[in-house]
Amino acid sequence: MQAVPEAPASFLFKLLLSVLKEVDKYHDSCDQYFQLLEHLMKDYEGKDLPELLADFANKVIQHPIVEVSSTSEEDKVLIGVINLIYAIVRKDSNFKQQCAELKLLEEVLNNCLFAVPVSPIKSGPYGAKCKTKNSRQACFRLLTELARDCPNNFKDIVDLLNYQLKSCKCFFWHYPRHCINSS
Amino acid sequence: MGNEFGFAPARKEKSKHGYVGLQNQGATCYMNSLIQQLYLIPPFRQAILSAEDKSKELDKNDNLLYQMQRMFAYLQESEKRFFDTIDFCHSYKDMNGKPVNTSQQMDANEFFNMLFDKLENQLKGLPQEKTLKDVFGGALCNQLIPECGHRRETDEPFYTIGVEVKDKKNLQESFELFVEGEMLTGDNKYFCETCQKPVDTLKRCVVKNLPPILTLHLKRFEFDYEKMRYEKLNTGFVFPMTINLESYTKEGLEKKELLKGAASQDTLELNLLHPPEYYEYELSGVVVHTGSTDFGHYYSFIKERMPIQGRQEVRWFEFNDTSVLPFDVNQIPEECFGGEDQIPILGPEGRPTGEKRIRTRSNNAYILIYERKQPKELLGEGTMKRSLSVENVPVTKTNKAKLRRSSSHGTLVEAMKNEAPAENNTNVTLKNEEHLAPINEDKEGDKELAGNNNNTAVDESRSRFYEMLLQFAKNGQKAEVSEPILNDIWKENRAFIMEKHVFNADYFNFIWNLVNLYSPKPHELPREITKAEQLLETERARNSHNKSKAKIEDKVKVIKKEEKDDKKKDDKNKKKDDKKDDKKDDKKDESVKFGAPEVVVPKKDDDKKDEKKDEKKDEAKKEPENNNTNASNEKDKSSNSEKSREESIQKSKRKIKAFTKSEYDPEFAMIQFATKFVTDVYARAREKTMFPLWINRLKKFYQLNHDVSTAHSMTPVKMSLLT
Repeated sequence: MQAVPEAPASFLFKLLLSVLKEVDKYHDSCDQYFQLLEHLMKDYEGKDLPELLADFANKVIQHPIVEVSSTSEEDKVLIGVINLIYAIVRKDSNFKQQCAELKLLEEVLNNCLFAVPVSPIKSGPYGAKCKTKNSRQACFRLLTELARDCPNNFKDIVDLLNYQLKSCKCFFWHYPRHCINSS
Repeated sequence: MGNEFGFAPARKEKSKHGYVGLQNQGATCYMNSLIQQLYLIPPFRQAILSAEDKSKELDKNDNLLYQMQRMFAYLQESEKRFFDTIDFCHSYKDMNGKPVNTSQQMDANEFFNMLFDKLENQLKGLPQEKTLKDVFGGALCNQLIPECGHRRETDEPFYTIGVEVKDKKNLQESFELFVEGEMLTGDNKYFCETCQKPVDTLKRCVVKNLPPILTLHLKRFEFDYEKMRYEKLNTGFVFPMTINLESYTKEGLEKKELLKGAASQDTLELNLLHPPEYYEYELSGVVVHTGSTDFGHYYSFIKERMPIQGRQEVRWFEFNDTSVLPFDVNQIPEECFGGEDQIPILGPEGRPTGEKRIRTRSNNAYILIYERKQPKELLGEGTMKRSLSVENVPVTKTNKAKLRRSSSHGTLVEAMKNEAPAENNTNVTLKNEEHLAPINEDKEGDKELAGNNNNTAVDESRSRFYEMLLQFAKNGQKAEVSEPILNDIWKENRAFIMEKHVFNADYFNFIWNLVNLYSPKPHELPREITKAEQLLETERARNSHNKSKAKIEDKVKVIKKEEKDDKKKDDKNKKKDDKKDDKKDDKKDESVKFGAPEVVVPKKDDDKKDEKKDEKKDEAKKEPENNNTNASNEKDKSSNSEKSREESIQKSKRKIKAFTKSEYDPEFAMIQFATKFVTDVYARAREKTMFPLWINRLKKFYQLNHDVSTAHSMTPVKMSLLT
C-alpha cells in the first residue's frame, strides 16, 4: 500500500523547526522565520504538538533576559516562541490545560511580564524578560487566550494577578505635579 | 488609548543609552552640565561614592558630600529618566551660608571652583582627601628668569586653567600667549638678591605638572569698561580633539630653548622626566553656553570613558538637563567653536539674492575637559596589573625617574627592562634633577620646587588615578555605592518598574479582555421590551385578522420614530442637566469634572423577588387574553421570538454555570478581581482623574453584569469605591 505523501505545509514546518535550536544566533533577523512558522502551524497536521508545546514552553522558561528597556531592541526570539505557543492553543484549545501544567502561566506572568529585581543588579539586563511593547503584547495575547474557555487557567491567572496586585502596595503616589506634567 | 492617560511612568524610564539626566530647578543648568562632566570621570565618581560620611550626626539635607554621593548614586543606579536635584541644591550653600538660589543663573566656572573648595574641605581627613588633586590637580610655575641666571620659581596649584579667547583663533594660540611672559626692563627691572642689583628679567608662567584631567576655562565673559558690564565673546575659537601640551610645560620650554642653542639636533638627546604620552591629551567633554550674559543656557557634550552595554566604541552624548541624547562628535565645530554663520538672503520669491547676512553663533564652548590619553591596554587586566607593578624592575639610580614615569605605562616597564643606561649615549643631557639643583639651593626660593620628591608625588598621583580607573573597569563600570543609599534607590526602582508595567495601556486592555472573558455578551443579556415591541405585539394580537401586515408595520415604524425622537430629546435634556450639574460640581470638587461614573446600585434580593411576582401576575393576566384570541401565525412567531430570547438567556446562564465549580466561581472571581483591581490599585491614586477611561469602562462592565453582581450580592459599598 502506497504511503500518503506528507502535506507540503507540514513538511516545510518540520524543516523550519529543525533549525529552531540555532535561532539565537540570528536573533536580529529571525522575526520573519517565526512569522512563517506561525503561519504554517495553522495547517500542520503532525501529532507531536504536545511535545512541541513542551519544547516551546521550556524555551520560554530557559530564555535569558535580553531586552534592556522598553525602547531597546525587542527580543525577537522570545516573541516568536510565545507566538508559536499562541498558535498551538488557538489551533486546539485542549492544550491550554497543558500550558498550565508546564508552568507557562507563572513564567509568562511573573518572569516575562512583571519580574522586578529583588536586589541591586551589578551588570547585564535585569527585570522582566519582556520590556518592549511588542513582546509584552505577545505575552498578554497568549495569557488572554489561555484563560479563554478554560476556567482553571482563568482562576490561576486571576490568582497570580491578585498576588501581583498585593505586591503593588509599595507604590509611591506622591508624585509632584510638575513631574507628572513635565514630559 | 495611551494618549488618554495623563500618567505614563514609561515616559520616565531611563534613556536606553544607560544615562540618567538631571532636573533643572529653574536656572540650575550650570550645575547640571558640570555635574554630568564630573560624574563621567570614573575615578572621581568612585572617590565621591566611596567617601565615608563622618558627619553622620549632622543633618544630611545640609551635607553637600552626602547629597553629592546620593546624586551620583542615582545617576548610576536609577531606573528613571532623570534625578531631582532639589536636595543637592539645598545643600549647596552660597557665600552667606544660604541655599543657592535655584532661579538665578550662575557662571559654570565659578560653580566649579566653589564646589571644589567645599569638597576639599569635606574630604579632609578622609582617604579620598587627595582625589581632587589626583584627578584634576596640576601645578603652574611662576618663573623669574633674570639675565644673571639666578632663577626664582614658585609653584601654584590649579584645578582649571583660564585661557584667553579674545583675539585668539585657537587653543594653541591661547597657550602660547599663556606661557609667553613679559620682559621686566627699565624701571620695572627685577632686583636680583644674589647679585644685589636690578637686572632685565623674563617673567612667565608655565605648566609644571599636568593632571590626568585637564580643565580649561575659556574666558568668554569679559568686563567691558565702556559699558561697565560683562559681555560675552562669541568669536570663533577652535580647539583640537587631541593636543600635545609639551611645548607649554616647563621642561618643554626649556627643551625648546636648549634646542635653539644647540648646533645640531643630532647631537642632542634629552632625558626628560615624563614619557611623550604624558603630554598627549584628548578632548572628552565640552560645557557649552548658549545665549548672552544675562540670559543663557548650559549643556554638556561628554564622551563616555569606556564603552558600555557590550559596545566596541565609546560614544559621545549631549547631556541637556533631563535629556540625554547621542551626539555626533563631527558636529563639534558647528556646536562649540562659536563664530559666525553666513546666511544667504532670499528674495521675495524665495530665491537666493546672492547676498549674505552674518549671524553670530551664540552657542559656544565655555569649559573644555581634556583627558590624558589612556594606554590602549588599560582595560586589559593583565597588562594593567603589570603596568602598576614595578617589583620586577631592577631599581638603579639611573632609571629611578623612568620607573616613576612607567607606573602608568605597562609597555614602558617592559621596554625599560631591556633598555641600556642612557647617560653613555648622550652628548648633551638635560637632567632635570641636576638642572634644578641651583634653584633648590636657593634658600629664599620655594622649597617645594620641582625635584625628586615633587615628581614622585606626581607619579604616585597618576598611579592612584589609573588604579581607580582599573577598579572601576573591574566592577563592571560601576562605582560602589553605600548600602543605605543603594537600598533607597532600589526600593524606588522596584516601585517604578512595577508602576511602569501596571500603568500601561496594554495592561489595561489585557485586564479588560480578561474580566470580559466569562461575562455574557450584550445580546445574551435580558433586556427591557421597548414600547414599539409592546405595541407591535398588541396590535398583532388585536388586529391580526382585520389589518394587513403592511399596515401594522407602518404603524410600528411611526412609533419607533416617535420613540427615537423622544430618546433624542431625553438625551439632550440629560446632557443639559449634566452640564449644569457639572458646572455646579466643578466648583465643589475637581475630580467629578472628569466624569466619575454614576453608581449603579444593585437591586436587593427582596426587590427582585417582587419583580418576579409582578412578572408572574402579568403573565397570568396575559394568558386568558391570549386564549381568547385566535392563535395566528404571527402570534406564534412573536411567541417564538420571545422563547428564543429566553432560551438564549438560559443558554448564557448555562454556559456560565457550566464553568462553575463547587469551590470556584469564575463569574464571582471576575467581579471580585475587577473590583479589587480598581479599589486596590487605581482608587489609591491621588488623582482619580488620571483614569477616566478605565473608570468608565468599569462602570459599563458593572452595568453589563448588573444581574450577575446582584446574584452575588455585590454590596453597594464596593460599588461606591469606584466613584
